[in-house]
Amino acid sequence: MTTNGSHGGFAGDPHAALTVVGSASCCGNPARATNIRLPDPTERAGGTCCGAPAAEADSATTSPRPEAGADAAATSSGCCG
Amino acid sequence: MSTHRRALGPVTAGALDQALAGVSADRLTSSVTMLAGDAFAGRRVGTPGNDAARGWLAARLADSGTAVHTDPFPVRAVPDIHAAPTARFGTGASAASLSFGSEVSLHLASTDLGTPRRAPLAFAGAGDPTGRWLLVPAGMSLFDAYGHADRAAGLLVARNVDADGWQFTMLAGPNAGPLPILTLSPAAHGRVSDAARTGDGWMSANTPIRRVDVSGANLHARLRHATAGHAEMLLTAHFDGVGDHPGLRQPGAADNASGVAVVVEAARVLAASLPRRVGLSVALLDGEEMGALGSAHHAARLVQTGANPVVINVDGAGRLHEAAAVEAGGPAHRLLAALDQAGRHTGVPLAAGPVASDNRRYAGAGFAAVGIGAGMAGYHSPGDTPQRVEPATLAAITRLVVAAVWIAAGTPTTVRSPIDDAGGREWNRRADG
Repeated sequence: MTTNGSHGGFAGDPHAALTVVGSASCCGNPARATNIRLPDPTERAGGTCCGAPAAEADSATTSPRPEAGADAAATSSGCCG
Repeated sequence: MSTHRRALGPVTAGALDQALAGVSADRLTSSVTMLAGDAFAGRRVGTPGNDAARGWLAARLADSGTAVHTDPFPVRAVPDIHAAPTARFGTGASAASLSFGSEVSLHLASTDLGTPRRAPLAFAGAGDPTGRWLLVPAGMSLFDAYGHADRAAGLLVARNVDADGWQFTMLAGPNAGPLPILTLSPAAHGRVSDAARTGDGWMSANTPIRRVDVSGANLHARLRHATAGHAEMLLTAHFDGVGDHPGLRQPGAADNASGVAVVVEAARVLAASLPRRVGLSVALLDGEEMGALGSAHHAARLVQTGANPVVINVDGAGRLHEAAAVEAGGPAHRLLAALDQAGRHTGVPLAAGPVASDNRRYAGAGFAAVGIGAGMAGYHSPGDTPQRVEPATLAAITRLVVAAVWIAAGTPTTVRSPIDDAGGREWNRRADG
């Protein structure tokens, strides 16, 4: 673990945190640790989170495309948290 | 470090450093150990263990001298593996068993089959599926497999395992379908496929998984109100986990006892040290593993009340790799600037990366929100134990959060970051209308 004053903060452009796209890593885990694949969160304002669409968050937990959700579960993609 | 101290100003930096010195790695580790313990049984939403964890956390928040309240919400169709599945296969009279959790597990789309069903093995898409356990070939989607599975006994789907060999648990996913479905590790899928190719292979297995409608509940504590013109900081972390299975403990230490420990410890330190003008609240969220339902519920309430919090969510503070992942959403430029400076002040490296967690619900509702993830060993598996949560990572992320709140609480002139000037105007965009 590295926590020293000379290397803290963003090494690159912090703005990149506002445009995170689908990745093989998650919540600070390298991909090799979990084999996780995430959905692309490009529709963050109203899009998916953890495999569930935002519009259905209060009333349902299923994907609007059951086949996609089933395959996501099979391949272990989804939410990191 | 000295450059960043000057940017903060000597008085601010000195007071902040004094606050940071109050962060206790021992207290953080103790919290993780407690939350991941047997008594809370993995904290799946709607379970007695989840309720007990909420009660314990409410008492911890009350230790800060603040009122704590709960806000319930419904959660439908939570997957519940109600018995350890049995799965045996073989050829002729020979047989082998598959180990639950590693070699075999239950697919979320599986129907509930309590009694083991013995049937011949075959491959989906090849021959008559009637009355057979069908191995789904690599590259065939489950949706396509259904098209080849009329009157089949069930489906056998290959699934990756993690670095420890576990098929980690997911709760959010498809509803139950018409067939029993088992997931097999790649190695087990290969062995069962070999048995199927003999023409004499068989499988005997059950799929004891059901769906239950439950109630989740968030925990809320407001440690102080903001004075006019100052930020309302909201610290969040989800306390629910994927839960234990019969015979298979899944402690949820890194995910997300670690994040909860960070938020509770940060709140304790901030309650005693933060300048009075800044508002500070804590939300410990339920139902994240079912699709961030607790934060969706909370974010909707905040919109209804006209609140305008600045949200810092922590999901995973177990094992810092090269840098903590940060995902931001909403009008978060100034929050990112504060976090950047906090990282430099505390020495915590940061990198843009996915944090697919509750922060997305707040950002989606229009609030400035960041998610911080600092690693999880043994994700959603029996391997997510307190022993694998690094005390140094817990303390580092707690200091990062404390510093970020302190810096965000400062006036704009105290914040120096490559993105500060561009984003400063957006801090109170919602409040300004």
